[in-house]
Amino acid sequence: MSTRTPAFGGDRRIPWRSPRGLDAALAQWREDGVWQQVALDRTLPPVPAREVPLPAALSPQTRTALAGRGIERLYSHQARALELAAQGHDFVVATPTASGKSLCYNLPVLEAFARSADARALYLFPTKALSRDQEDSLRALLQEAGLEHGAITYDGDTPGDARRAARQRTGVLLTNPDMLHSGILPNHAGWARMFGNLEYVVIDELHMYRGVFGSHLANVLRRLRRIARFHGSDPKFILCSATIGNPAEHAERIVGRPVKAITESGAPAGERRLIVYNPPVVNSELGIRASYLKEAVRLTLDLVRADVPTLVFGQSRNGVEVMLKYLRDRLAGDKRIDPSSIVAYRGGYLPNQRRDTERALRAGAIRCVVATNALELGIDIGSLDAVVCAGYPGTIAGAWQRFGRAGRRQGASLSVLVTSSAPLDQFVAGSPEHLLDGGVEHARVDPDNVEILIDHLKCAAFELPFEEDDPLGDVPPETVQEGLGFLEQHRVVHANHSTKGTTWHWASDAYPASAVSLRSIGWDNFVIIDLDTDKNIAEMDFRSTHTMLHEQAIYQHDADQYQVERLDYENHKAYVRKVAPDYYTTAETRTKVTVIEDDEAAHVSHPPPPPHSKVWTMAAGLGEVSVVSKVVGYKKIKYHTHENVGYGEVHLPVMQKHTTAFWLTIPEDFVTSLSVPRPAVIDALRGLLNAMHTVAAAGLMIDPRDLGRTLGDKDDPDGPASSGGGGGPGFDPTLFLYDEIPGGVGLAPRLFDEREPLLVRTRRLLDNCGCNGGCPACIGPTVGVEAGVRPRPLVIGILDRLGIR
Amino acid sequence: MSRFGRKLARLKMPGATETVESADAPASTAAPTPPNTQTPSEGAESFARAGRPLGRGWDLDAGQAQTSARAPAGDGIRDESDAISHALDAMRGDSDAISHDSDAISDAMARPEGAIPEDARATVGAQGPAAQGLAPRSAAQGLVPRSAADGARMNRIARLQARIDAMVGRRQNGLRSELAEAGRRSEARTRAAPAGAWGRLARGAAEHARPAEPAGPARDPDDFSGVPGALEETDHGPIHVVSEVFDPDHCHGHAPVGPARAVPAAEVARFALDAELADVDMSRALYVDTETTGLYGSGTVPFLIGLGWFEGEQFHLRQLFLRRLGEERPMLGFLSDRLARASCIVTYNGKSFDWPLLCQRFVMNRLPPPETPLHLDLLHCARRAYKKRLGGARLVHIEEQVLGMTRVDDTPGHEIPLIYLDFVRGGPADRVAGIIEHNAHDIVAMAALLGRLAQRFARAHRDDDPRDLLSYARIAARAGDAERAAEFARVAAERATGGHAADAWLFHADLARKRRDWDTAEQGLEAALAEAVDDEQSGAAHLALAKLFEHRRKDFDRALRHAYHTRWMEGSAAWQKRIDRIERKRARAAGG
Repeated sequence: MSTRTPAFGGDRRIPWRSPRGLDAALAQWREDGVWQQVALDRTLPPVPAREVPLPAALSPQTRTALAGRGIERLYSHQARALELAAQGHDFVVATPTASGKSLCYNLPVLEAFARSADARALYLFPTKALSRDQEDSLRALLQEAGLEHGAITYDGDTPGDARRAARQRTGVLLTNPDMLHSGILPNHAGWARMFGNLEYVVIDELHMYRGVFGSHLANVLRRLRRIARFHGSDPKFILCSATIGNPAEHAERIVGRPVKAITESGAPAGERRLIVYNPPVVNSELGIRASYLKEAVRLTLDLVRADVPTLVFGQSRNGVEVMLKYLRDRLAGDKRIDPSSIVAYRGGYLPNQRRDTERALRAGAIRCVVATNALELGIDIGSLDAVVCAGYPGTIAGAWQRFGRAGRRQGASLSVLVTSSAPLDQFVAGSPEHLLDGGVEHARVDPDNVEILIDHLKCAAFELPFEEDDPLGDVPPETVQEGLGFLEQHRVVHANHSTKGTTWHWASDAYPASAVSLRSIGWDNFVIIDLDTDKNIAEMDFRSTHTMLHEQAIYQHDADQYQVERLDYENHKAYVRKVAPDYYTTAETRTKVTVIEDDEAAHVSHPPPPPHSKVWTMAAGLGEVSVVSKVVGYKKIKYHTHENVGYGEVHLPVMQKHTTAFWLTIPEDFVTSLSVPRPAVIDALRGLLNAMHTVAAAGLMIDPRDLGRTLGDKDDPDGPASSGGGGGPGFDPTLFLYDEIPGGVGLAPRLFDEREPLLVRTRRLLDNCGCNGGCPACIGPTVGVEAGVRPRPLVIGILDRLGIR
Repeated sequence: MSRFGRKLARLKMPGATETVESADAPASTAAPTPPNTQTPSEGAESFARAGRPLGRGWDLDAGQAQTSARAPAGDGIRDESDAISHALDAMRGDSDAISHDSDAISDAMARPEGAIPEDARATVGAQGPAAQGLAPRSAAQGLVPRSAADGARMNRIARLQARIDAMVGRRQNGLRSELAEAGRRSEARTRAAPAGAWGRLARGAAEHARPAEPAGPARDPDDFSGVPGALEETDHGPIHVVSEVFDPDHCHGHAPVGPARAVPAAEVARFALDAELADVDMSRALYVDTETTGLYGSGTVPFLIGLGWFEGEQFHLRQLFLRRLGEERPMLGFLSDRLARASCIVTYNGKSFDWPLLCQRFVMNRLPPPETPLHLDLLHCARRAYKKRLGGARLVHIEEQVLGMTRVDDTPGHEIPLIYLDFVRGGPADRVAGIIEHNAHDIVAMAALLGRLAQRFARAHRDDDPRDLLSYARIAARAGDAERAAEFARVAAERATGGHAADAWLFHADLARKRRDWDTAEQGLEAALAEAVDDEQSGAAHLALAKLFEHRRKDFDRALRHAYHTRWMEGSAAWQKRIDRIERKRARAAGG
């Protein structure tokens, strides 16, 4: 028995659609020689649905609503969700895209509403667009169930009377973390009815809450739980995540208590074929391959001509525009195909636009959609028969999110990944089975980051006075007391001592939530202003401003380049003007890392392959460090050739922070044991560090700019410098990878735990790079290279000797 | 100390500057200049220099991510901007701090190559946002400065303007001089922030770095002897109460408080435009005004609840003072009692501020919130009556202009929260006494104002300011009292001068028209025409006359004559329609 959902709208009757379309395209590829470049061709067998009948205890209202949508059975994971909810557990649903996840939270909420007219639920979405989207379908569902509870979105756009209704009456409140943090929680006394009857808190897109944002959210939820308890409720948490490697662990960190996980999906899937296509090399000197955009377009054209509806993902808006143009140009001559049936999907889409596209897709009027991020597609644009990914999205999780868009419930589908020359892409091309069994990346947060915690402790103190022995979520009372002591020192809270104990009250005339942004540590964003149009074009966080917005820097925004003419540091403004240079700039930063406190230490030691015999031991460590950095200059690098064409000085102040770091120390004896001049070894180590950085960032699912790296000396802060510096006794080169976010958001600990796989993957990355001696992409721009010594083989040689293979 | 405690200790205080040994001129060593693939056309030497070792302890991190990366993730930043605007909408927090002397910074930026001035070494530390009260930056103004210093000034002005706009736009309260507070804050920051320091954090430091010792002589936090009033044991527990009793002829300015007791409810219902108040026994009204530690939110506490009511002829004032944070319950219990005995409450801006806040305090103290009573908010009445003449309706202003009361040494509203918070920490009691006096004045003023309004509204007094009379006329009209409205309007029109005369005549004529008194209407409009000082007024008069002559008098010639003057007001299309129609009617009337 099949289930239908409104998005798919029942059986399709499209004359030209037939399985042969896909086969025809594949056959064509075999003829064309495409197969030479195929690195992986794997077929995943179809998965039948695992369905169960509707639970006996299901309320009549819910049955009515489901019947209205033609749903007579539930998928196993949906039934499990109901079961866990009935038992009162917090749980996370981490099943693939389009597996009917929303019923996993909507059904328990419906049940709660059927039981009690006063019950309430809170739904959190990371963006306004998503919450507005859900609002309509949720309202419809509630109406179909015959329930009086409504659903209202509460955000900055909500008009006054709707806000009143939201406070007084509504069953489901949809909002986003920022609004919850600064609009609702600080005014919770006006939301007493909701907090007094809160049964469920639903958090969708859990995987988006990582790094700083996730660490902040975890604290917002600590405050939420505290306030709910004050008003007399103990809501259960239902979380939904795209595929990540650690859904239960991540959910537990976010919520602050044990969470059950549902990871097996009962939804059916047709046969899926996965192909990884690596464009051929056209310039071996620099390791450059044929344009992956053009190759992706070529493959897409084949699919479109074979009547296979295709979804193409680009990595950037620019990429999407380019591919769209190519596609339309090439199809201009083909009479059968209307070029307007190739559409693009950008950010800022409107819901009715999306519905139009959905409709057109179902009617067969659209043959190809070119889009950027998987998330931009919102909930349901429907699935297509084929997905082409132009460029590796950086993580396995991201890749599968995109691949998941291919395939109906029945019938075969195709996912193609076209890799670019970027090192990560080549890493995947070199070991493509990683996509299937490499282990999906983990999401990381650190809710106990001191800065973040203190900020939210302030907000919590404003919301409710603290008594002795009050915890804050999972933060124990002792820690809370220490924090309150700190706040009292700064005259933000005041302690009242009485015979009944001590209470801490908010004692300032300021409003703490307004000074805390959930997406950063510090409001210190700089605004980028286009001098030609007098408009703001973007914002940039404080740290990145130093490296990317110094005066004379070339700043890239979408597809355009701008030069920074003036940086108004005091007022946090960067004035830029559009230019068309043939170079880009990279900033030179001097960084010094000093270890403040060791938390953990370990040894990394492996026997090397013959002919080497000596076993070397590296010391690995994790702890808190002080990072001082200063941008001192920049280089102008020519596009494509990567020649150095100039240099300029930068005058910006020093930046200093405390954060967490993972480090690896290479014994000095090892360095001297190599028959290569010391400077070359040090540079090779720097190259190794760059490669490690690339692999680490991918593994942590973060922007590489959020992870800092530097080569230094762990023990002697005044140790000799790098290239050309004379060695001294006790100088052990140390590779540092540190969290760029002050206080750390959980990145370094993970790297420490995963140090062995990190090294192995780094080796793999270097092995797979197509360049000869080393390129800017794998080991980074080389500085101080002595003639005749090629760094990449040297790095690989070092790894060999250290037993890393 | 625990690990967390150690981390706390290292947490930077905003504004703390930590100079780090910046890299000195690179020590020349025997290291060879690294060869480059290309010889740069310019700056070759600098580049080569950078390739050399840079001094002890420094590592040249030569591979920073190239700047071709895209701007920070689209969705995130876009939604963060949304979130920021939501947060700003949701709250009425301060916007940007006003920068102080940034000329020093501009000078520092325009320095000769290679030199970095002392003050520029200030470290911008890990502590980002800990500074309180600093809200996110609103979008830049996009001004193009002509010079660094000019730009700084322009930015300062633009931000101040934006801040003022934002406050004026969003402010519902209308009171509590925020601008003054802004000025105070900026002043505080300017005073406290080190000269030439880096903007934000220095300003943040000023926020944090309140004087370690409270201003004035230190006081034992448990010593309340300096606070007026005394601790009373009540049914609800101990409350610190300040009591005073006023005779009915006690005057606030030149307005006595007594009359408020006997104000007829029907009158109140009229000038308050609230029919629900028509049966209220005003002698049992409860006057309420609070002094608080903030403007909104669960952390804002009303530390002084001022209550006034009539017992017999006398006006009793009881002010409940919160000695220590967290001891609100008895006060709220007392308030509940008085509310139960009252027929309604009288406040000044209580509908948006005091009442919702008090309700929240019941919730925060786990007490059932009282039922919402009938509520007379004098702010709205005062605004309707006096805004025309005074431009605004702040109580202090109304006091001066309508009641003739000028306070001496009054504690400004924006200082109140800090004085109290200081007091709680051991600050001086005399400033708190000032707050109590301020609050007392507020409550007595309300009673005086109520009496005064009722008296002035009872009938048209020829000695009233014509602008007030016209306002009363409008209020009466809205309240459905056509007769009184007409009387007010007539007297207003007769006495008004300047531009107000025409307004009054126009309104007077309009009222006449509504009661179908065409003669009076025509007279009034002619008078308005005579007194009109601008096109708006004469246009309105012409239009009304055109309609009058067309529809009532059927005098199409005169109608046309007036209609010719209304084109700019109505727009061509409507005007043409009118002209055509009148001409048609005229032709029909003539031709038969």
